[in-house]
Amino acid sequence: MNHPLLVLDHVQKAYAAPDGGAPVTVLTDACLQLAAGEAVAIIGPSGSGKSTLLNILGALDLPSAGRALIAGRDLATLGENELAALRNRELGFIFQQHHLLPQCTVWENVLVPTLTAPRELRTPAALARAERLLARVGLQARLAHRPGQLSGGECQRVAVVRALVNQPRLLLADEPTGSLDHANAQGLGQLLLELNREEGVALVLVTHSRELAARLPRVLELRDGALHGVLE
Amino acid sequence: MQSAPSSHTSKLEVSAASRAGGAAGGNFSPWLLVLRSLRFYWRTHLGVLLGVTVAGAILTGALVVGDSIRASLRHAALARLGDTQLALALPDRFFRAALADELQPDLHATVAPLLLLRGAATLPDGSARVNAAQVVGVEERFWRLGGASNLLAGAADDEAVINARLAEQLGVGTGETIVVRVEQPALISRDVPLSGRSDLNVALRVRVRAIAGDAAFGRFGLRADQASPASLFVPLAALQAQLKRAGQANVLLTDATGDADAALRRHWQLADAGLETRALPESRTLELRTPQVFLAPAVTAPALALASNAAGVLTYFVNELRCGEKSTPYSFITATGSAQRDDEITLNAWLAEDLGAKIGDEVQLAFFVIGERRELREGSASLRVRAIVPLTKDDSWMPAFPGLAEVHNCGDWQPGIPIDHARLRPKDEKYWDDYRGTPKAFISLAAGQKLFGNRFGKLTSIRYPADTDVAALLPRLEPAALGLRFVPARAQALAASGESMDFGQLFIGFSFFLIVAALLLTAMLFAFNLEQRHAEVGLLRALGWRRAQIRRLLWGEGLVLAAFGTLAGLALGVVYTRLTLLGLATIWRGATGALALGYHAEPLTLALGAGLNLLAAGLALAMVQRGQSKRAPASLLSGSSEEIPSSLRCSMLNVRCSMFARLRRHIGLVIGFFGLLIAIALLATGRHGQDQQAAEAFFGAGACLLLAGIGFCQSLLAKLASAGAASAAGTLAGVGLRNAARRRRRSLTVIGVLASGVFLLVAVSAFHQDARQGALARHSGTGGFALFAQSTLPVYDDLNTAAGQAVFGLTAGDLAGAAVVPLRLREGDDASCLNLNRAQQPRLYGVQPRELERRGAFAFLSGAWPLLEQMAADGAIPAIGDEPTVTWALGKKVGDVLLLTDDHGQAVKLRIVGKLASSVLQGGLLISEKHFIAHFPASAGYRAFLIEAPSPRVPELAATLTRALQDRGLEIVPAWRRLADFMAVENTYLGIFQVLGGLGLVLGSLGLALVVLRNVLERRGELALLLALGFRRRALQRLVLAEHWLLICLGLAVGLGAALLAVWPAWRAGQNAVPWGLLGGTLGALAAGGLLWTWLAARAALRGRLLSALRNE
Repeated sequence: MNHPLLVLDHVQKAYAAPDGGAPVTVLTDACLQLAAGEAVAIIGPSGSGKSTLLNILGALDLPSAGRALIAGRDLATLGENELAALRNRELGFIFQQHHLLPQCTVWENVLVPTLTAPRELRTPAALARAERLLARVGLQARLAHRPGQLSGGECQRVAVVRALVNQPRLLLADEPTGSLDHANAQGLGQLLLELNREEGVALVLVTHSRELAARLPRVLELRDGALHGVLE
Repeated sequence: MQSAPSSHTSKLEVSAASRAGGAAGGNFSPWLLVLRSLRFYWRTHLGVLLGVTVAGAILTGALVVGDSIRASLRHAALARLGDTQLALALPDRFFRAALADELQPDLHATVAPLLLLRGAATLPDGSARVNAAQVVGVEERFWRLGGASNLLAGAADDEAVINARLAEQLGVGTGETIVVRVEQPALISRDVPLSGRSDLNVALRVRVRAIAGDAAFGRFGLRADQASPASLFVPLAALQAQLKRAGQANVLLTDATGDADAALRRHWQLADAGLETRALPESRTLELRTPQVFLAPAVTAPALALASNAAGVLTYFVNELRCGEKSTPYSFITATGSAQRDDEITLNAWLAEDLGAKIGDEVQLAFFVIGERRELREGSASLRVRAIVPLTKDDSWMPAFPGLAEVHNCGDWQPGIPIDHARLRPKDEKYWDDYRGTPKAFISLAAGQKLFGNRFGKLTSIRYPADTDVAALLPRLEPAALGLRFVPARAQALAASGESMDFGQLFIGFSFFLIVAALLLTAMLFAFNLEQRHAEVGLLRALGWRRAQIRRLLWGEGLVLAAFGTLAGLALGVVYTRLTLLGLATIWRGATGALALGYHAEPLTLALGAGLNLLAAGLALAMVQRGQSKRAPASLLSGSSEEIPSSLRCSMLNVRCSMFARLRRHIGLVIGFFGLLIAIALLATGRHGQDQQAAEAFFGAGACLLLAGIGFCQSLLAKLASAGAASAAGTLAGVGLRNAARRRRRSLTVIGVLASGVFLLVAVSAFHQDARQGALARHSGTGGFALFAQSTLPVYDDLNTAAGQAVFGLTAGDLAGAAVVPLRLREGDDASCLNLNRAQQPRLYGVQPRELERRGAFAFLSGAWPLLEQMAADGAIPAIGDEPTVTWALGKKVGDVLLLTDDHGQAVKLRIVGKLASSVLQGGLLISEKHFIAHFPASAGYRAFLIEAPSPRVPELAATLTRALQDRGLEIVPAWRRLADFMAVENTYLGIFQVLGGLGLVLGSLGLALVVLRNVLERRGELALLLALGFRRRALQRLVLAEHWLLICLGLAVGLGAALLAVWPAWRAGQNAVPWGLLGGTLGALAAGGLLWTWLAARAALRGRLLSALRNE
């Protein structure tokens, strides 16, 4: 394994109980290392803390204890703006719901991450990349369409392109096929794997689908607040 | 469904994508995202836009109301002055009308001479009467200044033009006849002893030739009053003839802008200063004298300094000279020179013989001096005979005493003092026939001035050697000291309108609640929109957008909405202003009186209104979106709009809750307890305070209780929302209560708006005033007086005495049980709330402080009557006014100083030393009669009267006095009614506030409906679930109604409770007429409206296939 892109070092996460009682612990001792371009699936039953883990990986949340490092940078040491920049340039998100902006076209939705990127990154080359990716996912004819005019699978593919538009090093997918039918789920899973290879982007795929997880080279199970290897 | 594309998809050109992206293309920017969002969410944004539009319309409209009132006042000011720039007005004297002709070429301007007098106009049959009319003698130049055609061109002497106001009040048209009475101008002040009869007036019977409207200069007037005076214009020459003032005028108007005072100095003559000279060949002297009998103090010093051997002369009329048993009645004595001692007297031979006096004998003098209210007191002196001189006829010593100098027989003497004609012997008549006013005795000037001197002067003439150049006196005199001074009438009028009451601010105050309600509604709608877009915000955060960037994005949307809403508000503001002006011209006429209102908007005002609205709306929207952006991205991505308790938020953000954050958790309780504590403290202090302090303390306590109530509501909602309150959810109503707490901010907004609205409406109603309440009490606004009277022409005699009553044919029985407190009155700008102009030269009343102090009349907010008697070290005259006069009309406070010019042309300072509660004396400042007489002698006599009378006799007394003093133009009103007229203005303001506040409440209840709709629509899935679980639709409706009716009840209860505390002192004292019916109706309508809105919204939201919502879930 190369120098790890992502490191979770004995990460814990607990939430205060709404009634003021004892805190609810979600993650007790999560450890993970992921190299650049590597792909891993994380599975686990509902409520096991998969989303919490992904939020920590995506710098959307911070551990209560332990360390989370991306590209060697401890997330706890970064300020809010640095975290935002990290999310924008190093990470790509795919959610269970596509979360496309309904007021924007496909093309605009894809470009939303570029709006906050540094000016030097907003080049014709970036636009060309966006076009190429959209063509790659088969949406070259739907650029002017709005999300309301697309199918669920198409929306999710737009979300995939949006996640990749800033050339992130790590793609985080949270149940990306959860809202799709089987055929679309299969297609999207395949697409993610291909993009992982083609774009050289590391992939963390959180899913409850063992079938989808099995297509990834590495599978971890989140159980009792810790990650356990399933397939190596 | 389209499958995922294969990896060999062909490459696309960038340009193709750009084209496909439409307008966005490669130029997609945050601003384009803003525009896309605006377009996509247009429905909810439309609500925001409307909210900002309404707020903008009200804000701008209110400011433009101010512009319109100012412009209307300015228009009225210019209409009353025409092109007049400067005016010179002498209230008590006359000058040559030819002075105008002489000034014209010098000033290169039009100068119009006028005779301007007060008068009372009646119909010949007495069926209509206008007491406060002005009679103006004019010629062609007057109309030229007014920019109007000469309506009196070629008019006969008995023709007149009347203005629209007089025509309306008398109900006459052209061709009809009216009678106008004006006072025959006295040669000297009627307050002066020997000023002649006090009841002389001139009646003019004229035919109305034309009626002059504003455009025809019919509004002409010199006072800064918004209402047009009732005026009658007659040919100048005809009025001069009627008044026996040929070639004279008392007012000059000019459109000159140069130094008219300097021109006046170049052209004036001794006659204009009220002086005349005559040669006395027998004594080879020149005499300087005045038709006004006494040489003014401003004249005597320079006149005596004119020649080293100038001799002052004071000739007086004495009642009796007595030596032992013998006496001589009614004789002239002249005081001059210093050749004899001050206790010596020189008799002429006739007198010595008549008295049987010889050198060395004691002679007693008896003479009248006039005290207050023309009260005659007999003075006396004892002098020793120094010499007896031969009798030579020389009546040049006698000044032109009216009623004496011009009559042939002693029997016709009418000097204005009681003459016992029976005492006049034939020899006295013969002396008068042979020697006229030849003095019978001489005393030293010093002795004479000591005995006969008065405030109008101490010399009746000055004698010079025959070769003295008396014309050299003119440059030594100061015209202003004699009242001859041009005042910048136009500048003063514009200042009065420019500094008028700011109706813009007033209406912003009145509309404040309406504006706040509109902005809250706007903020609520914007918040709804943002709640709809939580996931979008979460997504942007996840995609690496910084909070600040997202804030700018959302704020950009808000700003665009605010900008467009503000622009629309500017347009809608015109409607608001016009409706308000319509209201002010009709149902709220009490606030602006007779002012003709027109729409006028200044660009700067529009810009200010737009700017303020943009700022207010921008801030409201910024605050809303700031609250949204605090949430964690993961929470936002879930799309939930549930409010998260701060404890959980700390945990989710993985930060330790700061002390501040912990405090925030209990902010409702903290505000509640602090509010309660302050309310209790205010009540404790207010309970023992005076009426005013108690009212203020209770109002403050009420406001604090309102705040506390809202705080406790917040705490209650937080408690209901917490898991610990789960037990409360055991019943359907309990579930409803819990639901009400789920969107605490929304719920609290509804409670806050309703509570504040109810509080303002009810609390403000307590300030409604009823002049009848306690009107007989001394501390009330009537001062305990039953009647207030004002006369057009002065009354010089004391109506409390038999002599004074006799002058008007009254008897003691007519005034049995009544007492009259007369006040001197110097006309000036009406400084009451009935005049919107800022009074520049306020009306002055001269009062006897002890008389009011003794009665304990009127309530002081600060100061006391005796302060009027004290003179400050800087010479400022102490003055007292009532609260509306001092604070609102003059914009002053106790201790402030006003500068006025007195009748001697001197600048005098008036220092406010006390303030009365609102009273019948509103509109003027009160100074002591002593100071009044010293500085404003031209306003002789009494023109205002406070009359106390036993209640049953009041109507009869009013009728008797009106009849007896009708020639004086006496107008009597019950004191409470006069007070009510003033109070009507304040009550109108309160009415406006309540109407606009009511509209604010309507907006508030609209917000409630939106909250209900929003809440229910958001929870359709949840409600569908309950339906699926077996709940009936009606039960769900009850659930929804329970939670929202709770909000209405809390809002009404908190507002009403706080308001009742605030109005408690007024309610208990019964001083103010709280309009319970109106309030009850308003509150009832509000509650019913709120319940109806809620019911309709719940019904609308629960209609249709609710279960489909469950499938969507």
